[in-house]
Amino acid sequence: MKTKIILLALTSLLFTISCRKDKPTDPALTCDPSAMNRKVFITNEGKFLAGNSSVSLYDGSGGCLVENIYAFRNSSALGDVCQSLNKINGNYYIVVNNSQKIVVMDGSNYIKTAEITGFTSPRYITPVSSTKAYVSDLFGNKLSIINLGNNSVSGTINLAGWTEEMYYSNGKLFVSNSGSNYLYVIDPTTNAVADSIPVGTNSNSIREDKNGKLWVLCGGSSWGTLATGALTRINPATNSVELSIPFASAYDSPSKLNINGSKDTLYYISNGIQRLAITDNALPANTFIPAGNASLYGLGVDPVDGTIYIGDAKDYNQKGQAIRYTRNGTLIDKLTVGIAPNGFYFY
Amino acid sequence: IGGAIHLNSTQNFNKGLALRSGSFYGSFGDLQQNLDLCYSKKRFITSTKFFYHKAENNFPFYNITEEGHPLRTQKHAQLAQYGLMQENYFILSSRQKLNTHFWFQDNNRNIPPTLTQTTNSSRQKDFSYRGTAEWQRTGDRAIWFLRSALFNDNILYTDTTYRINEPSVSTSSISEAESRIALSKQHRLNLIVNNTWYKAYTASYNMTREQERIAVFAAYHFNTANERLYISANARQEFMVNTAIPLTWSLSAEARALKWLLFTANANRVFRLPTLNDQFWNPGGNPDLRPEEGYSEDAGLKISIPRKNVLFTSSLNLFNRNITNWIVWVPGINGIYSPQNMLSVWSRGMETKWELAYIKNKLNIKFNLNTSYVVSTNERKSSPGDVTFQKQLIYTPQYSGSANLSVKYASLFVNYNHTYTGYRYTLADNTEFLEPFQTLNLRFGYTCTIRKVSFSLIAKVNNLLNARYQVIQNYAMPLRNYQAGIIINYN
Repeated sequence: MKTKIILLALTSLLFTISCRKDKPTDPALTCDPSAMNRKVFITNEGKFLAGNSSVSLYDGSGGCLVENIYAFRNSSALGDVCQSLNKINGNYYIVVNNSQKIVVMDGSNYIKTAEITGFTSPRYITPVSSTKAYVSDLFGNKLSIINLGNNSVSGTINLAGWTEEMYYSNGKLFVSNSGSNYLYVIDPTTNAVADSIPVGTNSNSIREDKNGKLWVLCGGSSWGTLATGALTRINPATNSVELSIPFASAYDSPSKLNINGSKDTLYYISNGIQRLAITDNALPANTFIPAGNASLYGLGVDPVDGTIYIGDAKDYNQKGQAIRYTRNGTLIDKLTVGIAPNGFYFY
Repeated sequence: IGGAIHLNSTQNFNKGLALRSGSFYGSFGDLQQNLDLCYSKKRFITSTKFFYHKAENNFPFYNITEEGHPLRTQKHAQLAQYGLMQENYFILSSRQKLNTHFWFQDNNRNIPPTLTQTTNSSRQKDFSYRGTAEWQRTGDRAIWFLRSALFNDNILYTDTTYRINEPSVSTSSISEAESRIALSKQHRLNLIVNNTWYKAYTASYNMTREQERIAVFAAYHFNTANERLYISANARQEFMVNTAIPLTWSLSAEARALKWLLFTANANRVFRLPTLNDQFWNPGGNPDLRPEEGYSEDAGLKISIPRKNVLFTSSLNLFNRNITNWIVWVPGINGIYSPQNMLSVWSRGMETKWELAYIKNKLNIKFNLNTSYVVSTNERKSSPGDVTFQKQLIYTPQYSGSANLSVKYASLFVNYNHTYTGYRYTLADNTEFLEPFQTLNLRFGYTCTIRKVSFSLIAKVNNLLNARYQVIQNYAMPLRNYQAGIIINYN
């Protein structure tokens, strides 16, 4: 009988011991956003369907980081897959792709002031005036027209394919299309497709250089029907192609075209970070910054001092990092941001 | 690694005709109808079971991702499914038996939006046909089995917004021969040869993929004359073209130390082959993947104390498992995901079960308690600064448990069920998690019997505490809900 009691006691004891605490610890708040000089916004997509996307805010001149500036001021979740951000009329328009909406965040206190809904899967927002903007879409086969006065969708333009980054120049809206070989030209006064420019397969990003020319990066296609990408320069006044440099392999998959503050040096992601001058006629022979262990998912260049910001998504199942390099390619530091950082915006 | 779920029906010969019908109606437009027909004579049983289940699933929930956590209604979550199971058992002679089984099931589901989506237009339809047959012959010293099975599974996933229309079809054919040989009262041998052929097609494979495996299995069992000690050892080797598959083996022992105390111990070598998706998905599939493999050990004890009207049982099991070459899909050079033998997982913990049963005259009370403590961590750094090293795997709660109390008195019964699920991390670096939650479920029933027919009235309340919880991050779960039904049994 005694043995039974001892054994029962031992088993009960084992049952009550907790060897490891399972409750996670709360993260500490880091710094005051109102004291920031140069703001660097980092858009973090989050884990697909998990609804945990975020926007980080970094002081480009200081070293102070708020990992989740939206959650800092708002009790609602930002949404699923934060794709991009744009400062329009002093406020921040955050495009949340898989929540089918754009969140308008106040420019001074970061509180949500409005939400624009009615999209299929929005990607980027580009203003053409203080009252009108356009939103590109992944699956909707359309561009949405936004009335910035009341923050609502006022109409749509049919445009087949996955539209990505856009650029407004010379009174025209240039729209990249990842799903065709053309860059589309929209006339904002008529809301009609005015022209299409053959730039290469699956255009995804556009930047303007110091000569007013537009550079378009085309990603090509690395599965299904293979196609190589291209870097194309167009004249936005005449809608003509001036230069098109093809990539060597369909697996190069270039993306995230960026330009520095003096608008004379281009950067993009393709097997590492690549860099070339706007006067170059060929792709760079040497990689500017090799990928190493990082999963390169975002890229930005600080217009003030040329600091390179790289988004490392790691395995997309944990917080990513913003890795900073000097304009010469020397590592500065690594900042822990949200999951899958895909873009950097400098204001 | 992994396992199998064995579905067994109990066989009752010579009962004549038996019928069972169950009809249930519950919250959110939930309708279920089951019908079982069984006819048996001295040497055969034939049984047909049919079920139908339809649900609107428009349940209310608090959207915790919106300001103020407003009450919303779940959309696009309808379900319609039906199925048929047909089984036949034959006693061919005093030594030979034959049984056949056929299943068919059709499921249609609309997939609801997450808490942060406004709409979702994806749907999934699954339909499967499965058939098995088993012949058995009992000899003087051995029982022989021959089994064969044919499965056909179809999945159709569609999404009108994302323009996805993806059918996936797979067919498997399995043949197996087994013999259970009693060498003596204390020594037994078990031998199995199995051939599994598997064929699958989905658009992302680019072509139909096949896999054929042959496995041989041998097991040896020994028990002492007084049956206080059982030992068994087994080994299994699978063969597949162009793939090196490790030998898996298992050793286990059970020792009755005292009348009320039993000790158990097991050690196993385990593996899991990469799936066809892992190898052939386009883009990213990796045909060079190695199988996941590892070792698993566990030890435990079982206590059983019967008294007049009361039975107390308890068991405790400690386990430890180390798996290497764990397959994980990670992004490659151009952002294309590809599976790699990346992780090394160490999983260990303790499970306990307790039961107290009391029976006296018309009163029958049973109380069960189960607890689980699991630490399952990533033990390999994929890069020098890897922060997921030694962190708990996602969706694996460290603490979980359940309790159940059932009371039967004459024609009435009440059942109370309580579950607890602890924190679950949703990111590999453990910086995000789902809150722990508890569910309370109650069931009431009343049975009355008139001659050969019995009627049971059942009522259920699920999630009595109206807990707001999530099982998968960002997907709503229903609040308190109800169900009532009637089961009619003939014979």
